[in-house]
Parts: sequence; structure tokens; C-alpha cells
Amino acid sequence: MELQQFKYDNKIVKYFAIATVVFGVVGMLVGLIIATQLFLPQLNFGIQYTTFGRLRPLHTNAVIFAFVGNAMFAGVYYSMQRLLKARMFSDMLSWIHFWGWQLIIVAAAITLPLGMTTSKEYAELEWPIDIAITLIWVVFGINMIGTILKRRERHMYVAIWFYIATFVTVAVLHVVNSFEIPVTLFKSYSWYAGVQDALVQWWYGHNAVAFFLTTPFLGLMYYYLPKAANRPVYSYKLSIIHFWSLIFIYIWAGPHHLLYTSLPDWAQSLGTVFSIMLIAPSWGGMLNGLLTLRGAWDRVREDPVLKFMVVAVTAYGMSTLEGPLLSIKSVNAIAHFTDWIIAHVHVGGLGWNGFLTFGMLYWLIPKMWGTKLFSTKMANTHFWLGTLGIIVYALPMYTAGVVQSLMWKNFNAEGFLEYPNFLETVTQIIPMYMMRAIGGLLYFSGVIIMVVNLMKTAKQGKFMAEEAAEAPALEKKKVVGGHWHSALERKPVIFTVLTLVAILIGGVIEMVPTFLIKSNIPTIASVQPYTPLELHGRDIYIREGCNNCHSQMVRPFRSETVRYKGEYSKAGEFVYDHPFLWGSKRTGPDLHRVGGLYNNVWHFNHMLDPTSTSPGSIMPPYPWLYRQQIDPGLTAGKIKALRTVGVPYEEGYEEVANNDLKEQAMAIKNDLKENNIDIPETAEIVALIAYLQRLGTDIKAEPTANK
Amino acid sequence: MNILRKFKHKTSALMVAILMLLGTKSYAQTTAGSGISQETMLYITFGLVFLVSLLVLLVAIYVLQLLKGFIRKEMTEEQLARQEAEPGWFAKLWAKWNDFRPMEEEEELLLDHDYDGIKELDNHLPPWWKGLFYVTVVYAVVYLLIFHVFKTAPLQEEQYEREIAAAEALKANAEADLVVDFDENTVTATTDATELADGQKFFEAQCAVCHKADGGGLAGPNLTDEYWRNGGGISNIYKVIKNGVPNTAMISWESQLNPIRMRNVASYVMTLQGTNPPGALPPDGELYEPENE
Repeated sequence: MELQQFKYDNKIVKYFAIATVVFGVVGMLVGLIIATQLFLPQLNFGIQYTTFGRLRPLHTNAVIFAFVGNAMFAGVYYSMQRLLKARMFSDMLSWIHFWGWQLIIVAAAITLPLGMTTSKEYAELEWPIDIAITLIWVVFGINMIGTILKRRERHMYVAIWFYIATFVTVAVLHVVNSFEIPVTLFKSYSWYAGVQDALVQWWYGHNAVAFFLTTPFLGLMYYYLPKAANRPVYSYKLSIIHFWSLIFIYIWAGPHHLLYTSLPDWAQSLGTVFSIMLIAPSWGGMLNGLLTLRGAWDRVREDPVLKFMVVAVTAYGMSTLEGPLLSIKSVNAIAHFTDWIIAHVHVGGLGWNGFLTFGMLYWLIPKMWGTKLFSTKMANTHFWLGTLGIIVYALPMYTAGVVQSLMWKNFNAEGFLEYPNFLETVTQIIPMYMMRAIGGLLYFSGVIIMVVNLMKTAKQGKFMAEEAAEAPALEKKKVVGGHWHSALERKPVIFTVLTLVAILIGGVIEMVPTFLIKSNIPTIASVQPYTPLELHGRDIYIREGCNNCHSQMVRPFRSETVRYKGEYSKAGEFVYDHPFLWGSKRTGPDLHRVGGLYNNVWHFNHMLDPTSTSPGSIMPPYPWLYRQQIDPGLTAGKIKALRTVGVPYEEGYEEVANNDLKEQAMAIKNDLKENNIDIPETAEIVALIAYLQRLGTDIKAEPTANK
Repeated sequence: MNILRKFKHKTSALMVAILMLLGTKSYAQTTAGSGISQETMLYITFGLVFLVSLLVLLVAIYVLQLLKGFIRKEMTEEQLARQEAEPGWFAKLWAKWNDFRPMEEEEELLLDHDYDGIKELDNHLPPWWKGLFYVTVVYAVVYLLIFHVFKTAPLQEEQYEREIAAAEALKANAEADLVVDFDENTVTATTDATELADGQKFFEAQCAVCHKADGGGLAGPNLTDEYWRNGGGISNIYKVIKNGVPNTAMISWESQLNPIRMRNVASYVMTLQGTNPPGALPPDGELYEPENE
């Protein structure tokens, strides 16, 4: 057998690693800013591009897709070449992948503050960027599969299985969830409506966590942890079982984000039980990681790389136990819409993704620069700041979540809400918001120390762009026998297809009936499409990211129907909602029944200065809504696009829609005028008021007077 | 023996602390008198039992540690070293639950895999992990059977209806022997101080959200001037509270408040007339002039 000489491409790894650090700092800084805005609302400096509603998607996208995404690619490009004993399939594809991905991030950083958003969480980017993501993802896939096919290692190691699952599933998730009809270059409406849109979105949202934040990082763990610890992986069998069970079960669990909503009961129950069954497969990963360290624990105490990894794996175990517990209905009834969920995702994000990335970087950078880490002491300081940061972040958020939720639900002995004023429950937890920001600051300062440490490390070493290696070529011979799974590891194409099948089953079984069987979403005769003015208002609501703090889903609890003064939300009410706007967090009150509750003047004053009507409110003012005008030229396009996706506007209505728009706007303008407020009928605030006054009113028996 | 004396001293201090704690607790109970509801008593008892058992546990652990210390004192160096080398109870339990093979046998478990220097062991699945997996699968099946096949547990709609029914039953029960000798047209304002205080308490808890605690108005109109959207005077105010105002945040309180309570609130609102609180909203609605009665 002849030894072949080849070189590993380290340069692409270096670029992805630098991008990881840069966007990590940016993403976390934005997080710190919006955390501070929650107790210091004026921190947007009165600028519309920096409000919480617009920056929150920027934070989540930056951290998930820019920080964790680049870390994943850096880790994958380094480990995959070595595990397969081959250089990446194509250098050109590697670089298209790198620059394409960074361009997408820059596009996100520009469009999200501008309010160009689909409103669907972690999928906020508008349709041209969605297409770009698809293309770049395919480039990554070709490069990866290509490398696997020209490998010099007969079997694929467990890390590679996880990379394959990541590629396949993220592709499916992204394409299905991004079905949307363009209205303008940076505006589209989701193809799906209401309950169906919610189901697709949370199938996506949940599995973005599973296949963007979990599976690739498990793959990374399987490479970097045994490498750093210099120990054999604990159990090959456990790898097999937990890999297949994890990817098969994960995909079903999406509906646990929609418990006690208008989603059909059967789908909710599937979400619950599959989440519970997910505990063991998730813990399989944690166990295989921790047990690999068996016999190396004395080194964990000294080596910062291992320290970071141990906490990362432990945080993974904690959040994957907490997740299923949160999916139990009675727990969810308390935790959903509160800061408990924020704490939960940050234990996963800061602990698992963050710490594993840090551990990997501390190992990778000295390796590629042929030197030692500049300062172990600094790395240890980073470790303690980070760990402390996570604790100081999470504990106040858990407290805040439970305290606020109990306040929302508390009825006094006489049968009245003890805290009928939502604001009271907010001011109660503001000290916790402050603590959380301190936790974030601690974590962030640790990262800054890491940046310095890594830069100094690189400076004292010499970067090896091309690392020479040699291995015999893979003989073209038929290998038979062995363990059945071992046979599968020799067949990357069959492996990929089986992975695809495993992840499709759950999604298909949940989505197809929800789309096809009518009884899942009982129609309500009085529910009508939005008027043209309300459509404009709804798009402003989406642009400002109101859904980041306000839900539109009154759950079937007495405490909610009493508080929000109306029936709980019904599936049939959302059939024209492209996209759905149920929200996932109540920093402010639910708005689904807000229509008609307050008069136009109240809304006018409230949006201009929330504290004037609600003293102590932490909502920022929206003065630009009073200066900016809606563009009636867009009305026809909106109507046509919505008709395409099934909203029953009459043929030709787009021609006359602006007459209705004007009439409705004038009515609001005149009503405001009676109260000595003068505002042009085309002002954005008028459209927003029209939308808010419409919310949840269709099913009320009395005819609405305000229209 | 020195240690024993120290021990005695410490435990007695602890006992005093416990006694003091118990003492203050029972003292608190007696002073609060019969005003404490049964539920609160239950919680207090639970809390007390919990606290005492916690203390007992702490003392037990402390005593155990002491005894261990005594035994160790008697041991030779050799025995000590042997004991040190032995794994702790948790390590033992962990090894048992995972069915660990001893580290020395690791060589035999090594598979012939080698990926960039990473080797894999042929350890079997940790038994407790397998058990956990089975239990969750059983849980899932039972869950689906209960909710969707046998339907023995309520789904969310029924759960909601039950919750509402329970609240209504509670209210009906509370009003069982209420004597109401007026309706919305014949209602008269009460001047009884206790009843007014009751109205005020309710107003400040529930109505103040929209009308401000002083009645000056926030989201809802000012209630302290002579201008009314739906008419002033006890009868009109009572009607608004009872029936609500359609398409506004003013809901009907009839399902939640009994007539006496509604009268008390309406009467309290009447007392706000002309108080002129600072920052009150401007007049809204028609000037209301009371008819001579």
C-alpha cells in the first residue's frame, strides 16, 4: 500500500475561528445592551434602529448563526479533514462557504435593525437572504459530502455522523420554514397561516436548537474532548444508540413550544411525550463525554481546555433535562412566556455552546500556531468569570420567571386577580433584570480576556497554513462483515439517506394532518381578513418586533381570560394570520384581546410615551411612528400576495383597497381630532392603532363600534 | 476526653438553638390566634416538620462525622492509608450503576478503531441509562393512552371549563345567604363606613389599574369630576359596574362581584366627587346634574 502525501487546510479553519471570536463579541455585546434596555428603556437613545424589538432578533441571530455557526464550521473543517484523512473536497467551495456565510451575517446585521423581518424566531431574515443561506448551505454540504467520498479512512467516526445529520436536517428545516411569498425586495408573507404557521415555525425553531446548536456540537465534542483528554471514547455502542435515537426523537418535540395554545391537543401531547423520551438520548451524549474522562479527572483540575469542556457537557446535560421537564404541561403552564425560558436557553447557550467553543479554541489556536497557550492563568480567570456569569445570569432569571408567573396566576380569596395590573408584575422583577445584566457582563468580560489570550498566543507562534500529512489511499475492495453499524459507517450515501428518513418521519406525521384535516382548525364564520389599513398596521407591528415582548395567545386559564378580558384564543381566529404572531415571551401583556379595550387616544398617547398612560412601563417610546407615513402604493402588492397564499380578498379588490384604507384612516384621524390631536391620516401610528383595535375582536358578539 | 467535651458543648448549643426556634414558632402561633386559616396552619406545620427533620439530619451527619473521627484516632497509619485508597460511597455507587469495568481491563475493551488518534472502547450501555430510557418510553405510552385513548384525564378545554366551574361554585357558595333588597334602579348609596372602606379596598385593588387610585383616570376616564360618559349618580355608576361598557376595557363585573359589593364600590366612587386630585384627566363625556330625588 502506497502512502499518499497531502496537506490539511488550516487557513480556512483560522478564518472561521477569527469570525467566531469577532461575532461572538458582537453578538454578546448586543445581548448585554438589550438586557440593560429592560431596566433602562431609554438606552435605545430614541433611535428606531436600536429598540429592543429590533435588536433582540439581531442578538439571537448573531449568537446562533454567527458565533455558534462559525465555531461549528471552524471545528468541523479542522476535525473532518483529520478524521477522514483528506483535505477538504474543494478549496474554492471552502472559501465560497466562508465569505458567503459572513456576507449573510452582514446582511442580517443591516436588515434586522432596519426592521426587515419575517417575525419568525431564528428565521427572521427576509427572503433574498433565505435564498442565500440555502445556496451557501448547499455549498457546505457538497464540500462535506465530497470530502467524505474521497476519504482515506474506511469508516466514518461518530463525529462525522453528527455532521451529516446537521447538514441534512438544517437544509430541510430551513427550506420548509422559509416558504414565503415576496411582496417587495425585503418584505414577504409566510406561506402558512395561524396554527399551521406556528407548528412549522416551532418544528423549525426547536430543531434549530437540535441540529444547529446540538448535533454539530456533539460532533465537535466527540473529536475535541478525547483529543484534549487523550482518552478513548467511553462507549462505541452508546454512540450508536444515542445518535440514532437523538435525531429520530428530536424532530417530534417542536409542539412543546405550543402547549396550551390553539394547536390541536394530539399534537401538543406528541410534543410532550417525545420531549420526555428525549432525556436519555441527550444524556447519552453527556455520559459518553463525561465517562471518556474516566481516569483523567486529575488533569481536568489543571487543564483549562478540559475544564471548559466538562462544564459545557454538564450544562448540556442540565438543559436537556430541564427542557423535557418544561414540556410537561403543568410545568409549562407556569414557565411558558416567562424569563424561566430565557434562563433555560442561556444555560444551554452560554454553558454548552459557549464553553465548548472556548475549550475548542484554547486547544485549537496553540495547535495551529505551533505553540503553547499564552497564559493558563488568564484562561482560568476566563473560566471562573464565565461560570460565575452563567450562575449570576440564570438564577435571577429563574426567580423572575417563577415570581412573575405566580403573580399572573394569583387569585385572592375573594376570587379576584391579586395583581390585575400587568405592570405590577414587571416592576417586581426589575431587580432580577439588573442582576442578569451583571451576569452577562461577567461572562462577556471573560470572553474579552480570551480574545487577548488567543491573540497573544497567535503572536508568539507561527501559523501553519498547510499541515502535511500522509495516509494510504483507500483500497477499492469489498469489505464485508463486521458489526451491522460498522458496515453502515462504510457507506456514506446510505448513511445520509437513512438520516434523512429518520428526521422526516416525526415532522411528516405532525404536519400533514394539521394541514389536511379540517377538524384540527375549526373555522369561525365571523373571522374576516384584515382591512388594508390593518395590514399596514400589522406590518409595522412586525417591523418593530412587537412580538418579541407581546404574545397574541390567551391560553385557556381562568387567570388569563380574566386578565385579558375575553375568551381564550381559538384556532379559527388565526386563519388569515400570515405569519402567526403568537410570540413566545410576555415582557409586556398579551395583546390578542386588546382590540376595543382602550380608545384611540389612549393608544396614541401610549405609543408616544408609554409611561404617560402606564407609569413605570419599560416599553420604549415610538416617536417615529408619528413622523413616518405609510406607503399606500404597497397596498395592492400586499393584497395580491396574501390572496396567493389563500386569503379570500375578492378579485380586483387591490384596485379599490386604498379607498377603504383612507376611509378607515380618516375615521381614526377624526376620532383623535375630537380629542384635540392632529395627525395626518397617513401616519404610521394610525395604521398601527387600526390593527391593535382589530385584534381579537372578530369573535366578540357585539358589532365593533370603532371601525 | 477533649473531643467529647467539645462535642457536648456544641450539641447543647445546637439544642438550645432548636428549642429557641420551636419556641418562637409556637409563640407566633398563639399570638396570631384564631385568625390564621387552616391552610396556613397546615403550611406552618409542614414547614416546622421539614425544619425539624432537616435539623435532625444535620445533627445525625455531625454525630456520624464525630464517630468517624474517633475511629480514625484509634487506627494505625497503615489502616488509615488503606482506607484513603478506597473509593468513597458515591464513587462506589456510580461504578455499580454504570457497571464499570475496572480501569486495568481497559486494554481488552479497546476496539481496533483509530481516528486521528482517537480510540473507542467497547463498554456496554450504562444500565441506569438504559432503565431511564425504558421508563420514559413507558411514560410516553401511558400518557397518550390516558389522554387520547381512555380519555380519563381532561384535555385543556375541559380543564378550563372545570377551573371556571370551580370558581363559580366558590362564589355561589359565598353568596348563598346574601340578602339583596335592591336592584340597579332602586340602589341607594351607602354611608356606612365599613361598607365604604370595603368599596375603597376593592377600588384600589382592581379599578385603580385604569382609573388611578385617586380616581383621576389613566386608561379609563376621570371619576372625580361632574362629567360622565354613561351618566353619573349611584344608579348609573352601579349599572356601568354591573353591565360594563361594550367595546371598552370596562368589563361587566356582575359575574365576579355580588350586588352588595357592587353597591359599596359605586358608593365609594360617589365619594370621590369633587376631590380634584392632582394630574387628573380632563373632563370626558356629559355634564351630569343629579335630579332631585
